[in-house]
Parts: sequence; C-alpha cells; structure tokens
Amino acid sequence: MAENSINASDFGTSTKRRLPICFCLDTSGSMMGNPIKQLNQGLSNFIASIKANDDTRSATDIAIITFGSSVEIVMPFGKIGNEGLPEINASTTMTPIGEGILTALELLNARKEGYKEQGIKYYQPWLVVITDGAPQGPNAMANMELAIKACNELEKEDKLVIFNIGVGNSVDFDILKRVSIKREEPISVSSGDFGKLFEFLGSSSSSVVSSGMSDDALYNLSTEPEDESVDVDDFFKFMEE
Amino acid sequence: MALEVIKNYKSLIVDYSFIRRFGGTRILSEFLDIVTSERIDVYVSRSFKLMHYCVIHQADDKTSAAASAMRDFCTMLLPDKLLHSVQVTETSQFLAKMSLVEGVCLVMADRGILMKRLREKKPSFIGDICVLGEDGAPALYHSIDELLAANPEEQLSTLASADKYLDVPFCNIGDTVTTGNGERLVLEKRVSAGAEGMVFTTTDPKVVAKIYHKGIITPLRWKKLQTQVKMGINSVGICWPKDLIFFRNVPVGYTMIVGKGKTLGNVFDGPDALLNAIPDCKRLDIVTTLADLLEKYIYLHMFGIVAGDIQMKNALIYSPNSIYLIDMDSVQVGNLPCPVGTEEFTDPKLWGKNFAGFLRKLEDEDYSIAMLVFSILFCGLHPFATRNGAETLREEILEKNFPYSLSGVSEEHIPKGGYDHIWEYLPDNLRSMLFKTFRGGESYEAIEWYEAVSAYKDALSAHEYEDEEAYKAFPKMDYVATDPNPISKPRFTPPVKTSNPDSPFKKAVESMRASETMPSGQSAIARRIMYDPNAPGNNLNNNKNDSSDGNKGGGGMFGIFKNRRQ
Repeated sequence: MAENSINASDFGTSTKRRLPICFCLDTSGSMMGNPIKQLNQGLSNFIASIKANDDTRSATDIAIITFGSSVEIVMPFGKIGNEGLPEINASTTMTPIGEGILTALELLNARKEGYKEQGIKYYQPWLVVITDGAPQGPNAMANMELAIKACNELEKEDKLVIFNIGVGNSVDFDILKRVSIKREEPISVSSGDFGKLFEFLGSSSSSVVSSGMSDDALYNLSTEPEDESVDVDDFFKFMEE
Repeated sequence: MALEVIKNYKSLIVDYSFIRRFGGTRILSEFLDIVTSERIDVYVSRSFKLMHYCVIHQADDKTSAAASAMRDFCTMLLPDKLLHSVQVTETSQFLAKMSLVEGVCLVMADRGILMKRLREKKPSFIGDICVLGEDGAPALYHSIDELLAANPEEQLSTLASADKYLDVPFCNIGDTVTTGNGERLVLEKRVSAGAEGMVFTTTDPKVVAKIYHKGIITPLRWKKLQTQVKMGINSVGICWPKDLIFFRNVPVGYTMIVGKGKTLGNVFDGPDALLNAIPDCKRLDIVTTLADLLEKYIYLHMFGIVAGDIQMKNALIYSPNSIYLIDMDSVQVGNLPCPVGTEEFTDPKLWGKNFAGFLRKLEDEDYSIAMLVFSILFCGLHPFATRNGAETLREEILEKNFPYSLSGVSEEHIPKGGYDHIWEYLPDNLRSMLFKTFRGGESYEAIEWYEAVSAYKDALSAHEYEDEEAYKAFPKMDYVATDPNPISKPRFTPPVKTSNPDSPFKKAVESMRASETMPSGQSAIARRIMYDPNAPGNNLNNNKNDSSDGNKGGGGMFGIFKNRRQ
C-alpha cells in the first residue's frame, strides 16, 4: 500500500515543477511472452529518454504498479536510480485492474501531499493504465467501479490526466473507456507498438514540462496544424497586402 | 543649426536615448557646443548611467559610438559644472522632481524606453519636451499629452492574426541552403531540436541555422525575421537573427551566432544542479549572471523590443561571464507581437489572453523581469513555491502567496533547503522590492532592478559584508556538488575573461580535467550542451524528447493509434 511517511530525500533538490506519472500495468498471463518483453523494453527506453534530457530529468517523477496475481508497487516515486528498472513479469489468470488503479491513485495522492509539504510546484499527475483484458478476480468488478468513480471525479476537477490504453483484441474497451471522461476513445495499440507508445508518452511529458503544453492537448491526438497551408507565392503575396 | 531651439532653455534634461541614437554624429557635437557656449545646465537621472553600462557591456558595433559619446559628454560638461546627476531612477519620480526646475526641457529620441514609459505611465511633468527624430530633426512639445497626441501608439500588425502558414520544404543534414545575402551554406550537424524547429551547424563556423518545422513559418514570423535582420543587433551574448535562410527559394529559417552552455533552467535548478554545473559557485557568480541578463534585456528595450517570453529556458549559461539570450525569433519587435509566454513568468493580468492579439508593454515585461530576478537569486525557485499552500501554482500566484516576509515572522511556508537563508542575506532594498512586487502587486522598472542587483554585485565584489555566509551561493548551508558535470568543458579552452585565478569557471575547468580519467557513468550520457557541435553524444539521436512530436507540426507519433470504432 502507499507509503504515507514523507522522506524529503525522495524529492531531490530540484526547483522544477514536477510531473508525477504513475504507470499501472497489466501483468496477467495473457501478457506473457512477447508482449511483456516489449513492455519492459518500452518502459526502460522511456525512463532512459527522460533521464537523458535536461528538461525532463529532474521534472518527471515516476512510479510503476503492476496488477496480476496481486497489485505490486514495482517502483515507488522518488526511487529511480541508476541501476535500471526491475524486470516486470507476467503470470496468473487474474486481472485486478480496479485494485491497481486505486493503488495508483493512492500513490499519486501521497506524492502530491509530499510536494505540498516540501513546497514543490507540480503539474497535475498522470495515470497511465495499460491492459490487454478485462477485470478478473475476486471483487474485480466492484473494485473497478470504485476505480472508475474515483478517476472520473479527479479528472472532472482537472486533478488527473488519464491515459487509458488497451493492447490487442481482448480488451474490454467499454469498461476501459469509462476510466476517462475526457478521452473520446481509449488509446488502442498492438503490443508490437509499445516502443512508439512509450515514445509518444515521453514526448508528451517533455512537452508538458518544457513547453508548458496544456493538459487538454493531451487528450487530443490530432497532429496537423489547424491553419491554412499556402505555397511560397501566395505567402509573399499575402504579406505584401 | 537644427538644435537652436535648446538655446531658449536654462536647463535641459537629457535622456539616454539621445546619447545612444546620436552619439558619434554631428547632432551630439552641436548639442555640446550649444550647451557649453550658452552655459545651459544639464540634468540626468540615475538610469542615464545605468543604461550606458547596459550598452557598453554588449560590445555591439551597432552602438560602439556610445562609449566615446559618453566620454565627450562628460569631459565637456563636468569641468564647467554643467552636468547634474539627479539621484532618482524611476521615470515618474524623476520627472516630478525635474518639474521643480523652472524652464526645463526634456531632450530625447523619438523611439526607445522613455517614449514607451511616458506613454504607459503618463507621468506629470511641467516643462517642454524636445524629441529628435531619425534624422535628428527636433519637434517641440509643451506637455506630455501634446507629445503623446502627436506620436500615437503603434497598432498591432494585421499579420498577427493571419491564420496561414507557409508550406515549407523539408531540409536536413547535407542540404545546401541560401541566405538572404546569397551566401550558400550546407547544414552539417543537428545540434538541438525543439517545438518549433531544429538547429544545425553550417559550413560557416560562426553561425548556426535554425530550420523551422512545418506549420511554424507564419506571415508574422517571417515579417519579424525580416525586420530583425535589418535591425542588425550584433552582440555576442544575444543570439539575434543575422540572416534569412531559403531552401529552393522558399523561406525555411534563419542564421544566428552560436550560443553555448546549458539553459538557465537546468543550471539554476536547486543546489545539486547548480553546484554540479558550476562547482564552487558563489553568490557573486549568481548575481553576476543576473546583472548580465538584465543588461541584455534592457539593451533590447532600447530598440523598441519587448522580450515577451522571458523564462529560464530562453537563455544559455556557459559561465557566469558568458550568457546567451536565445529563441530571439519570438520577441516583440515594433508592432509585431510575441505570440508565446508562460503562466509562471507572465503577469497574471495577461493570463488567458491570446498573446498574439496585443502588443505587450514595458510594464508587462517588468513583472517577468522581477520573476527572473527572484528565480536567479533563489537558484531556480519560483517566488510562489509554498509549503502547505494551495492546490495549484495558479492559485498561489493569484492569491499573492509569497511566503517571505520583511519582519522575519511566519516564514514556515518557505520551501526547505536553505531558501530562507538566501532571503535573510539579501540586501534590504532587494528584499523590499521583491516583497512589494510579489506580495503587494507593485511594479518596478527593469532599470530599477538592474540598479539594485548591480549594487548587490558591487557589495559582494568589494567584500562589504562581514559575515562570510553572505558570499555563499546557499548561505548557512553546506551543499557540495553531488555529481559534478561542469558546463564549461576543457576541450574548448575558451578564453578566460576574468583574471581572477579563483574564478569558478577556471575551477570548473580544472575539476573537469582532474576527473576526466574517471568513469563518468550516467552523467556522461546525461551531459548535453545545446548548440555545441563538439559535445559528445550531442547528435540527433540524443533528442528523443523532441517536444515537437507533442505539438502541432511534429506529427509522426500518432499514426500508430487506431481509432477503434471507425
């Protein structure tokens, strides 16, 4: 469960405004083999790119939770070291997504309280949920409903940014969609695209901490500029007018 | 004789804009001849001298005449006791004081800081105003109202609202581009990438090329670049656009001088980052950096520029004596607005406005300057970073939750880490100015901040404080570098500007040399010098976090996501 005691050394001495990101990852049996390998690879590339960039290194705060046979805090906030990430393994038939999300929210909340206590500015936290299935296990549905309610309330008050991500074809997209009230559809990827998914998350977090990109933009995946594109002749003609 | 008109006055006020604009021309010599032969008293404010420092420290050939002009001005007027320095810096207070002098005339150039201040502050002043235009022709006004009526405010350029962008061809390493001067340059190495474009080294070692992404060159941007290139600001520490760049006859970017170092935000980021970047950093180094930054911004103000988007990532620091303003293509030039800005550094009264939709005032910039002063003095800390405060930074700013006090009581909201001691050791006038700004909502002119910071710098240099703690970057704290990774690299062996053998710059170089044989582990990967083509690992693959991908024009990354219910 989330640690409530606040240890100042876990926060570092950076004065940067922090972006706390909690990954909440599915490690049920169906993730075994290539998907979990890709997930580990994507995650460690993500961390490496955060650490290689001066703007994100001290501004991005990361925790990782897995949900499989049980919910585990693989890496709490403030513990990102040089030794790299612990390997994440897939197992069992259970998928306690709801419990995973509730634990993630507790971690994020404790981190926010820590920032406040230390006087550190922060961006509203990110919850990144990645699953390839549907809630399974004892009380899984009831907990999922609790998790959805909690997420919706926080998101509505602009206190949480949610990335609800489904992998492959066995995802219960209907329930995953309900995790976010702002994202029109869950983000859908194949496990072969984990690399790109984490690159996207990396560049988005970098945009937030270094360019001040608004949270709303994180829900809009459109890429084309909105204005009208003109060729060079029209461009100069327009400027002369 | 164009300046005959000043013979009618017993006393003149000379604004610095007159020296900067007409230094080295016959107008100044004519002026001095008249003043000495007619024995007219000349009054200047304290900002007169301060602005002169801002100019000569830029060593810009564009203003090289200012130094000799000032010498002439002083050597001709001082022996005859005709020059009087009034110990006031702020515009309104100075003019109020000068109104007490009977039959006085204010002599100024038609563009520059004072004209803007008069327009914004509308101070009361009893006296005439003689404004010299571009050609030195004087226009005489009998009041500030009359002056402002005859010189209406510039209107926002209509290009600012154009919703068009140029469809640019993609160019990359190896491509040959042409400058506005017809010079051909080859793009050699990519040295950095950002939301708007990429920066390349070129076959001309003196300049780098910024090439924009698709969707970034708008009519406003191009018009501004054209204007900037014409202005020709040529100071080493200001990475001003030098020339336009075309690829297959289509505008794609501009050239600028090479800046080096890390962004302020990555050096002034708490004790660990600061001491790792500048081992043995002292308070004097911090204050020197700040004074240098203020001089640069004030210098730009003299040319009718408002920087607009002042923030910690828009300047590079290589050493406290070597600072570069970057991203100069966004500044407000004349009636071409600065379309960007951050909530953290912008006056809250401008929040929510479309930055491209209005012209920023110097008064707006004063807030950002105050933010910069606090952020540098406090090694990166935001003035409204508060322990146990409101839910968001936004609320803290709006509620003016500045946790520092002048009385030293109820300071439990100051973030931990020694920031209370930084506050405690600041000179009283700086504390008072910061307190009144962030708690009281008052405003100080950039030149007033420069004056206070310069005085602090002089006091530190002259070792005026008895308590040795006052000279530490973090007084009363014993921080040491945790993972030294100095910005300055020994391989460049750049000229050490200061003769001080104990300069932190030199020490940084030395400590770097000493540790070179040791494995540097993670820090070697993390080390990155913007715009520095020689830095290890500083090629395109190092920029995984290119923020362009999250913004318009970046593209590419989103293609992987399927819309499930299409």
